[in-house]
Parts: sequence; C-alpha cells; structure tokens
Amino acid sequence: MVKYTPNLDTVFGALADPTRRAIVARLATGSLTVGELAEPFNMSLPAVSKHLAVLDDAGLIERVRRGRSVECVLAPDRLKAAADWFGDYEKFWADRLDALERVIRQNRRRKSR
Amino acid sequence: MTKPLLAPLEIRRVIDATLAETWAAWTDPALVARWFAPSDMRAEVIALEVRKGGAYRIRMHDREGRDHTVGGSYVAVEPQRRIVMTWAWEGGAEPQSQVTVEFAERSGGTEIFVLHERLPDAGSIDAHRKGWLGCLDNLARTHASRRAS
Repeated sequence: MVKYTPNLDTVFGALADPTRRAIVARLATGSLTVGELAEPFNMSLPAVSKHLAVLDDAGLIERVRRGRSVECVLAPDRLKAAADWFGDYEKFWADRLDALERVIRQNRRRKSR
Repeated sequence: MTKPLLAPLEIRRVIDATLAETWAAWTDPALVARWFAPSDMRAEVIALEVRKGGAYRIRMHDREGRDHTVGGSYVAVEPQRRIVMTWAWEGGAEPQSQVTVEFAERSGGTEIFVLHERLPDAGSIDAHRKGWLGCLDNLARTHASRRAS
C-alpha cells in the first residue's frame, strides 16, 4: 500500500515544470532522441538537455547513448510512486473515517440488542 | 528548485456518533483494529499507549501476505479533544510525519478533524496535484502496458 521511494521531493520538483511534464508525456508513448524531443518545443538542444538532466537526476528517465545520438527512455516506477503519493493518504484517511463510523454503528446495534 | 514545503492534508468529517464513542474508537485497541486497516487488509494493534510519550504500533496484513506496520509516539493526548502523534512506516523511505486528530461535539454527531502534516512535498505541486495525478497514473499505465506488449 504505502510504499515510497526516497527523494520524492526531487521527483515532484522535476515535475513542477510544464516543459518537463510535456517531455515525460511524450516519452510515455515511446523513447525518443534528444533531437526529436527538442523539435516541438522550439528549444535549443542545450536547453532541452538541461531539462533532461533534471528528469534523469530525479530517476524519471534514463538516457542511453546510441551512436551519435542520445535516446531518452521513461522510467515509470518513479512516476508511479509520485502518482500514488497524495492519492494514497487522501484516500487512506477518508476511507478510514468511513470505516470508523461503521464500527461505531455496529457497536451500537450490538449493545441495543 | 525543489522546495521541501509542507503540504498538510486535512480532512474534516462529522460522524453520527457521540464524542465518547468516537474517542473510544481511537483509543480502544479492539475498536482500532476494526477500522484502521484498508478494507483489503487486516489490522493488528500491537501497541496503543494513548498517553503523552506512549507508543503505538499497528500492523496491517495484506492479501499477498505482506505486512505494513505504521507506528510512532503520542506527542499530545487530551481526552475527548485531541491526539497528536508521529507517523512512520517501518522499513519505509518516507520520513516521519505527524498526525493530529481533533474531536468536537456538533449537532448531529461528532466532528473529527484529521491533519496529516510534515509530509514531504514540492510546494506548488499541491495546487496542481489533482490535475496531474490522473495524468501520471495514465502515463505510468500506458508505459507499463507498452512495455508488456
């Protein structure tokens, strides 16, 4: 249930930027080279590389050298951990309070019998 | 830059129960065992020393036979008013956080206020989290199924 990888701060920090989220979204459909990633953003290669370095540091992507180009691959485990993060606790407490109310109701029925 | 801001999680709920019943549900191990674990798990209350400085430890057994144990100590205990406790999963990488529970009599029942704070977070994410959590889930799923195929 509540299993967290370390440094989720880094993951959230990396994803706080819209360009980096867009990069992650594009990589979700398949790996791309740095050049291919840079194209739609109208950005220089160094600028994109900087974003990629942040994503790499956060463990969200891996960069693999293929000949003269660098291919970027999404590492989904970290992404999943980030996605589970808040959802888990919000749901955890809401569900727990529901269950707590049920238990009190059951107890009361038992006593009134 | 990553800001390790605190994004507390708050839940406020009025339940159809008296203050005494609600307090008992948080402090009687037999009762806690019945509601504390998610529905697909079984809770086992190992310790529940509801007093300042006392420890609590609750183990949850899931269907795959794994155990998830949460525990901590009571920072403050005011009977039928307030419980403040530290919160940490054993063997987890998540840093210790803190849970405050407040109880108040209301017309129609008892209000429970849960504040879960000192959770690591990246500040601005909080405002956006609802929007992109779904996206992240989808992305992770898309990628997983693509890899599996």
